[in-house]
Amino acid sequence: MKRYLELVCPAGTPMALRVAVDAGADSVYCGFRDCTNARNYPGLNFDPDELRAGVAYAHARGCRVFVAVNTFPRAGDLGPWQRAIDAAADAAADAVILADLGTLDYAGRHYPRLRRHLSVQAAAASPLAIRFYAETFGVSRVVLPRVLAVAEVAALIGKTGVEAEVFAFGSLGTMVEGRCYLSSYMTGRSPSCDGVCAPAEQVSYREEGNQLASYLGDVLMNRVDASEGAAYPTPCKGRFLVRGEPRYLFEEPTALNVMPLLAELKAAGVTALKIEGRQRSRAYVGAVVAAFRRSLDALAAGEPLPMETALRGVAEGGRETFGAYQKGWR
Amino acid sequence: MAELEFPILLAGNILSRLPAPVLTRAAAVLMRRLERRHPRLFRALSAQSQMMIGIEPSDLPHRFLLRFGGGAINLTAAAHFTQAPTTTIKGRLAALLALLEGRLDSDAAFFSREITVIGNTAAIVMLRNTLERDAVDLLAAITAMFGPAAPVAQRMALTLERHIASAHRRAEQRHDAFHAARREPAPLATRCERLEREMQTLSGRLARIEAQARRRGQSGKVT
Repeated sequence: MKRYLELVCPAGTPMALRVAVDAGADSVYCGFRDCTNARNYPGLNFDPDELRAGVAYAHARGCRVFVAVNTFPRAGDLGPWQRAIDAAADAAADAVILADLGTLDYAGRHYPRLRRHLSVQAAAASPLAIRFYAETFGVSRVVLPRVLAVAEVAALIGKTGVEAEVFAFGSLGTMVEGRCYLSSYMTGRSPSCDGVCAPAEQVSYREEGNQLASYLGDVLMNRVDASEGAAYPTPCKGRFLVRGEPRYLFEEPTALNVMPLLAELKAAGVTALKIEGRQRSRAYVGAVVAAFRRSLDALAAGEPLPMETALRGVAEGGRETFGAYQKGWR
Repeated sequence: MAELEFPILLAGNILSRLPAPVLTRAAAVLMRRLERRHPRLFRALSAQSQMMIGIEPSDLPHRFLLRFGGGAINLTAAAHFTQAPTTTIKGRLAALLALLEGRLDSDAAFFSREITVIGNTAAIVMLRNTLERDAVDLLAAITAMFGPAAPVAQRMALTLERHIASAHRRAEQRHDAFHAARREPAPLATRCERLEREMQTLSGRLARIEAQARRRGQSGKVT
């Protein structure tokens, strides 16, 4: 069967990688157990041996593995990022996902045959920026930020000729990716440099009367009633006082889901769909990958989209949105 | 991933009847079994700095305290925590066991408030991510204690679970039927008001039909 769109799936653990491959992923992305990737949580991610075994498992089943080395190195300390690229190449990964100019340059010079994908952390959202990365560093794919409408995605692809990967399910990510430092004011760490915006040791929940309160460091992020859904304790998903009323200012607890837009994204020239959630469980990975696999196979066969109701059960806040793909507020 | 779902009703029945000291001894045996089956998981948890997680199944009279890190792991049962854990996870036994076996997405369970986490999250995130790396099959670990009779024990557990489940369904049906029989019919005044409204509607419709018939009679049309 001809591939409709490439399905790129998250793997936070070796077990999740196997679940993703078995559920029908075309590609899996993962990262090392340190600050070199944007999902640096305790107990998560791969060591070099686990990556080698994961790549072998995926390749034996026709699935590719991309390694995210997508944080920004600290000044004068490129070592961990260089070692991560070396280890990805050594494990026979199919691509590295990079954001920093120095890591792109290093990978291009040392491993010219290793594909370089531009991480969403680079926030490349204009033809000029994308062409610069492609021409200067040989980037063959760009992961587009989650702030573009489908028409804007189509225009970008038309003007660059670079493969485009877009987010299909999971966290909304409405910030300028790679430039969000909100959490560093509260915790001293940021997703851009440390790979984590709500470090587990800085997050706490307290029962306050009938409400559940979440704190990041000493800062109150949210309070939810017993009947209300809980949200991630990140600054972008916190509730802020707006004219005296507590409101979700940047982002409500809602998951992105583009399932009904698959044909539009295909027509826009998109190459690959990215499922977000390396920090999520293998149960999430299995459910989401299998649902998208069914839909993509149905579209490839010219059949109507199957009704997928399982995704709401794993969606943040139990709600789904098209996000910026359909800018209904314009 | 576990092939058979855990017999949760059976487990709940047994666990709620056992006293805490017996449960603690049983937990020690189970932990040794699990360590033999999942050495990598136990090595990873032992290698952490010392952490203490409280586990509160909302449908059991017991609380559990899981200590790991600093080279040791143990699970104890008690009616109340004598030491305050750094983190406590609360939820129904079924949800907690599904998390242990990787059958439930913990974030989704947290969003929907199926589980609640209280306290600092460092230990619980570490535990969750470490458990995610291994496929724990609790039923297999427990029934393995029966040695060669393990498959028989597993079948018996699942058969008992089906019996308990059907007994629960029957009890629920009887409960519903009992309450349906006791349910009082709508009060007389309410029924009178409803009939009056229906009569008014019908009178209106009749008046319109009569007026229509009169107009047709005057114009000499016959339909």
